[in-house]
Amino acid sequence: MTNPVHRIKFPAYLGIRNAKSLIQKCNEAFSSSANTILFDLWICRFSDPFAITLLAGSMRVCVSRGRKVFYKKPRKKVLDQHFNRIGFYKFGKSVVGKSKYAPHQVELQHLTALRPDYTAAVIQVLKGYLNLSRGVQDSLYLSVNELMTNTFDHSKTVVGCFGCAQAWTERGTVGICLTDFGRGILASLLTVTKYSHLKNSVEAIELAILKGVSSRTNILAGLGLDHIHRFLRVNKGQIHIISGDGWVHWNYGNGENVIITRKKLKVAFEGTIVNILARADGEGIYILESETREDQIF
Amino acid sequence: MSEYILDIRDTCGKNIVTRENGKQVHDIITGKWNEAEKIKIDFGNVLIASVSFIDEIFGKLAFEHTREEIQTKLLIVNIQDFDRALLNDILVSRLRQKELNKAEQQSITSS
Repeated sequence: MTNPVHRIKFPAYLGIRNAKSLIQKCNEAFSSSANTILFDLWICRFSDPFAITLLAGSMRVCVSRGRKVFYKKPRKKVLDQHFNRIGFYKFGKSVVGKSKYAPHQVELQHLTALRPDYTAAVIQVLKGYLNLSRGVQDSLYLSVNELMTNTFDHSKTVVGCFGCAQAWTERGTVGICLTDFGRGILASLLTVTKYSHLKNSVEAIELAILKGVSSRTNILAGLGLDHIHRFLRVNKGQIHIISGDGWVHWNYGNGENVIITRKKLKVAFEGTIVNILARADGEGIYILESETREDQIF
Repeated sequence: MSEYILDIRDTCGKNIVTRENGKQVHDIITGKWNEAEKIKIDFGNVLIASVSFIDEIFGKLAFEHTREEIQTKLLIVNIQDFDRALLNDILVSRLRQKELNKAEQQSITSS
């Protein structure tokens, strides 16, 4: 007899550094045979946009697979208030609450199509907390739109993707995360013969960021991720890409001397997560224009 | 021969992000290329900030025409600084790619 409720206890730290453990927990929810899944957040103390999109999206995946989803709110008041403000409680049903799955918040959003208005709204919200330079605003706008375009062009996601953003005023940084539950970068690139040599997700992730690499053939494509990386390089930001069992983290904190960390996850994530951290007072991609100044056409 | 004015806001409305949106503009420009002496593209000071949209219009034109032809034929007005830089960046990048492809082809032919 199957247990009617499968309780999944989440750890205190809900953040990108704990991605391995969180993805494992979410996979546990996906593969559960129970009719009801309880996301137990009782002991959680901290959360970032990555974890919020992952949890909200995982709940949605469970719902789409016919499960009832509930969550137990964190006892830590600050996090509980944060979840409330950011719209997290609109996803799934709380153990004590009655809200249905009805996502309509700027910060956390379930996207089923390209939504530039969402991107504009996110930038607007971030501007309310931090003094973002015009270059950073426009570069973030470009980055989020390109990520969304990639998701809907390549991932074949059935449940769409989840976006969330946050400003950390004390650190002067902004975080934006987009999580889709699609086929992943490796599977997407393997549909193209010239990328058939790819053996694992880490290789696929690193290839995908190069100029001209795309799963779409015979048309112009493959500039989006290159532009995002150029932005983060001048901004001294960071980007994590998790897809399948691959995890690659680029830290441009030292400018040109990028630190790249590669990991293979024990449990693969069913989709792709892109998490961007940018400095509010840093440069935007076209602030300097040094790369094209001598070569202006218009 | 006359000047043709292409208003991005009137043509695309809010659809200024995807390659499909860009293709619509590219097709109009291509259709008017021989007919009009000058094609004035008015961005209406709307922020585009989309690599896909700009690349589909101007990246494609870079493969179809020379740098001089593009400069002579097109007039870009009311464009935000960020988008102007993005447009230039994409044009330069695709013109370079075209040159590289040509050089590769020539080396294959000569060998």
